[in-house]
Amino acid sequence: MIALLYARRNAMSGHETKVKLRREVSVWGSFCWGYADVGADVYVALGLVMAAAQGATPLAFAIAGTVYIFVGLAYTEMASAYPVAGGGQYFALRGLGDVWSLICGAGLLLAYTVDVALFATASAGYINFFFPAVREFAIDIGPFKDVNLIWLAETLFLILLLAVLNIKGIRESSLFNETLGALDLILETTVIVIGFAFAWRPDYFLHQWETQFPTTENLAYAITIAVISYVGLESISQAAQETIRPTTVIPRSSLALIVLVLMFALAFPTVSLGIVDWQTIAKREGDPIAHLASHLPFIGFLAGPAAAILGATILLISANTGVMGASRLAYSMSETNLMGAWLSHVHPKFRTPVRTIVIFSGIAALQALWAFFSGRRAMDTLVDIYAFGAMLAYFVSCLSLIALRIKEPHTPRAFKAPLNVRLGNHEIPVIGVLGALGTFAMLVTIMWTHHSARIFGPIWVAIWFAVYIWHRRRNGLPIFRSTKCNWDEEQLKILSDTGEWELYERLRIELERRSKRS
Amino acid sequence: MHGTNVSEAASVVVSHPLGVAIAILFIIILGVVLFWMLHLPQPMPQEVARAVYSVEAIRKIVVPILDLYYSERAVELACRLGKLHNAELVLIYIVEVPRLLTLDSPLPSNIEGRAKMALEGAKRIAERHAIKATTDIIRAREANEGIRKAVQAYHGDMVVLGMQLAKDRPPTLFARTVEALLRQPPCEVVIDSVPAA
Repeated sequence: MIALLYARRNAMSGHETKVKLRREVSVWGSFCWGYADVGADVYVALGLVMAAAQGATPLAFAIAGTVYIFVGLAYTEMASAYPVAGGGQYFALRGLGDVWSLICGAGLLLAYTVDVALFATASAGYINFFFPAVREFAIDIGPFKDVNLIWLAETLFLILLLAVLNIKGIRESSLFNETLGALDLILETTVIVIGFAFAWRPDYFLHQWETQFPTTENLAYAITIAVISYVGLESISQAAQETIRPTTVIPRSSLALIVLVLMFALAFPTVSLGIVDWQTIAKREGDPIAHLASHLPFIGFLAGPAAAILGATILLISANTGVMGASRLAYSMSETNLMGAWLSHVHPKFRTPVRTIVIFSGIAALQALWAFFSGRRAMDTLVDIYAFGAMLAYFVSCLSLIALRIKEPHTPRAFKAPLNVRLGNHEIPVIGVLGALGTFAMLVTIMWTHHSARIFGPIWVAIWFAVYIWHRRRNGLPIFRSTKCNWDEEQLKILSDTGEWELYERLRIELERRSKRS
Repeated sequence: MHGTNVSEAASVVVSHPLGVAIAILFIIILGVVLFWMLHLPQPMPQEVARAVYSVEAIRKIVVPILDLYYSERAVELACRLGKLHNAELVLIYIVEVPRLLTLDSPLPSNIEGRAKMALEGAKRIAERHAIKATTDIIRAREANEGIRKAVQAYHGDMVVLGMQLAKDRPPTLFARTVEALLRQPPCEVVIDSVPAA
């Protein structure tokens, strides 16, 4: 596939050859790219959701989780059928065309860069658990009050570290995720299992559910925050072009991620409400899991330092996922003519898209800088627009699933989302329809309940649309129409590049049959 | 993040059966899901994939028949070949029309009757295997030309042809057809040559 895209681009730039991304992500690596992002989100969201949903926190997570299942199944089908960098942006390009692809890509770029800024900041905050003086440090710089320069320096250092790690290679970056991901999975499981087995009281849980049920508006607000717990599924798709045997690996890693993340997201609030009151967890929005762990027998005395290490590492690997995701996404947008070709340069030695890593890590660093200089409200803004970006992209991706079933029914799919309805010659995915409705409802709710998302989200998309128009005009490409591409030929090249010969042969034979008939 | 107070950590052990059950279930599901995820099937080499899918790609099998044992056997063989991947059968009876007559000139009723009977018998074999079968009587100057017509009209992927080469006797109609067909095959051709009795 890349070869065709290169050929298309090289025809314009005059280059003859181009270095490809390297396939080095294993099945565990693929799972960890998703888990790293999602696991951290649950860790951060628990306190925030509980503050709004109170005794019905598991319900808020369950409702958000239902939409996540739809989106997850849609992504699993598309990521295993089209294993290339770009994720939702690439699916939208093939299914809906260039403009939708840009909208989806812009939403994802927003989510990924905010992910890096937010989680690098939070990770540094957890490291400072061991250095209380650093946490309390604050100075006034001109009009900016209480700026914690040391914490800011730590955050920028972490972003720089992740950028270097990602430039060095996907193997190093993935190994980093795999190791810390395994550690976090063990620690989170320990908290849940010990919590349920030795501290959970079902009567206390039911008492809080019955007496502390929130208002409808509060529940709706909580659901929009709970949604961020499930953001990150995209990362598996972004790493698809560097995954070994992607059409075999991705359905497994994605489905495992859907099941496990849902389990963790439902288990944490359920176990919490059976051990402590919701107000206590809500008050500790910075470290809800640490606080929960401190109430557990046997491991309670270790809870503080262990949870700090857990928080710091899981947030750092989530930020790492953001660096990888943003860089691969921008690489794909450049390869598919939505942005300048200059961005898709792959370093000849490290085989990573070095320019996109530097640029989007830089944007994340600027977002962190803005957050530190603007005080707490800016951090809230980052959280709000994070959910906006992700939901916008998920909505377009669900529409893409429906469009691809209609436009490319002959493309072999290693995994097909269940529940399909036959309309004429087309097999319409009910999951895609429900996912589109669910994510659209979430998007409307986010814009209704989060003031900053309503303003900054559309502005961000408008900025990228302006960049897109500038690029397309400069290269004499249509703005509202899509550039022509032989997708069947490209699909054969994608499958040949992955070495997934079963799907390759199925498509080749189907194309032969179609050409024979025509 | 707030520091954790050690006094907070001193919690009482409360072990409720439901909680224990949930904890055990959590571990079991986690273990099963991770085990399933990590145990990938073996990759298929390109040559193997090509062989497997080129056979699986056969969706329509054309079977020319006569009211003879070996052509019914060819239908049975085609059913078994196509059953695994839900292929359809196209059962054709070719009537060779002499060159002196036009292709659409009326045929003697006994020929039409024989053709229908042969096709019905063949269809019953397909029904036994629960395979969808289409029947057709095709007029052509020569049998191999009729087969080519059917392959083109029905988008056939394979032709299964039964024949019998009798010792010390001139080649039968089917043997001649096979020879002509193999010289320029319209698609994949499988010949089932039944030994002479």
